[in-house]
Amino acid sequence: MVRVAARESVEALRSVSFHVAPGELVALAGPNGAGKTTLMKVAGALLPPTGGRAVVDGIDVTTDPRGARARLGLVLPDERGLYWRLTGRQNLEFFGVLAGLSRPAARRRAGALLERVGLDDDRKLVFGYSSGQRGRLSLARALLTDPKVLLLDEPTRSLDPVSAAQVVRLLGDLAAEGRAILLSSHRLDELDAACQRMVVLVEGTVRYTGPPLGLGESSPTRAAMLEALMQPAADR
Amino acid sequence: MSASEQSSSAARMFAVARRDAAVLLSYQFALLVRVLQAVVFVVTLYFISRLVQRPAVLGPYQGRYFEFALVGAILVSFATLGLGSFSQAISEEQRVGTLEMLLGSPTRLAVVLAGAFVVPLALTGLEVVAYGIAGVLLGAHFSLSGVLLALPVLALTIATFCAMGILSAGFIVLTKRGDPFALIGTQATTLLAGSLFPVAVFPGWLQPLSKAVPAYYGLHGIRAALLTGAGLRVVAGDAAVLAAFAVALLPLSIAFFAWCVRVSRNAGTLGTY
Repeated sequence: MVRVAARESVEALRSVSFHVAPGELVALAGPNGAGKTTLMKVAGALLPPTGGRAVVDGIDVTTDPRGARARLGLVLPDERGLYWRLTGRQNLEFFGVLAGLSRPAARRRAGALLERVGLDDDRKLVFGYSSGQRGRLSLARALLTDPKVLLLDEPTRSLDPVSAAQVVRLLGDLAAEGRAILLSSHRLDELDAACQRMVVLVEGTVRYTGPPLGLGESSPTRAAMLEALMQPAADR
Repeated sequence: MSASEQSSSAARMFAVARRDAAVLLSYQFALLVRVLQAVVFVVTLYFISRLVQRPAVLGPYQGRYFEFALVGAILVSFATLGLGSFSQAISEEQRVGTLEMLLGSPTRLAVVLAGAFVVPLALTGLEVVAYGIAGVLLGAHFSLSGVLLALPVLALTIATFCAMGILSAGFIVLTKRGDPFALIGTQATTLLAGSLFPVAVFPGWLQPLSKAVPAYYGLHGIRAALLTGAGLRVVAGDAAVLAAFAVALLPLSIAFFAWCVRVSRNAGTLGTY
């Protein structure tokens, strides 16, 4: 479905099909290299698929990528995606205007979001932030246009357990406000706690879709299930 | 989002410029160094001009090497701006990891690049002012009435450089490093166009090659306006050639850039460096 060129073509996703309803928080789990980030980029209209389609709030990302981008908030796992020589507020105001907000609206929204994610030091440049603060700022950026759809690729990767729990609670609130949220993470415990449904991706294909599997729980049965689920097809 | 809460393309462009200004101001020492470099360069030119007083080959410019070289230095500054600023903007976004987030916004990359030109343009303007002030303090003399004629020629020269700069940015999108356009453009401007010496000193076989370099016409027109007080008729010829270069190169470079972005986006390598 998707070809990502490094030195050679790779089929990164194949026959992937699922949906996330408004108000639903769906977890995307899978081992490294499963295709989670590629899937996020395709749905986020950053990477055109070689086949198939992704629809965001009724907009096909392949035919109207700019329209789709205007309707979604995206967090990528790379914390470098912020301007470290600017303050958190300056970052949010900048991305707000680029996302289509007027300058006064971007300023208002930036202030409200900084407060919501617990970052309200106006003078601090982002290079002085901790990894966790950058993670929260990235999440605030995804919320700038108050999007109905959120694509969050490992938003809690750099967070300590307390901050991660705060973010997960915030995601729960955001879903409760009617947003469709797709969340990928390696922290299985937080996926269990946060999501209503889980999609497990292995080698670019969907291995499981359904209620949370309790994968974060530590029991021999769960461990065996997790191992079986994540195993590459050739080893099964 | 209501209409009053939406930003126009111009507002987005200026948001990019504001961002660049804020980043620049966080490196204040670099700004000061740039101005000092300009002043030191002008002083260097001044002493070279004392060494080569009134050379016959500069007859058309009354032998005034200092002013001749100053105009050359100013044009090279604008050449560096036009040729390098787009590719540098792309490289910088790739390096700091923000290109993908910019592309994730509904704003066109062309708007981002146009905004990214504003601060470098202002910086080059500042550098040129430093050239001018230092030059005048050291005795340079320009025809003030020629300034009005020189400005359109300069604008057309910058447009031509920008066209080549967009080609260069396209190349950087694809290859990430090792762009040949900026290198060739800068070297051709410095050497072949005669920025610091007249092309009349070249061997006869090399002189026609200068006329293939857009900067040659920019230098000729601006020098004619500022140093000899030439009229519209002389300057218009250079302006026409530059306009032809710009008209031919701009659509080509924009199409090439769009193609490079498409190829890189499809390959999933747009944000990598």
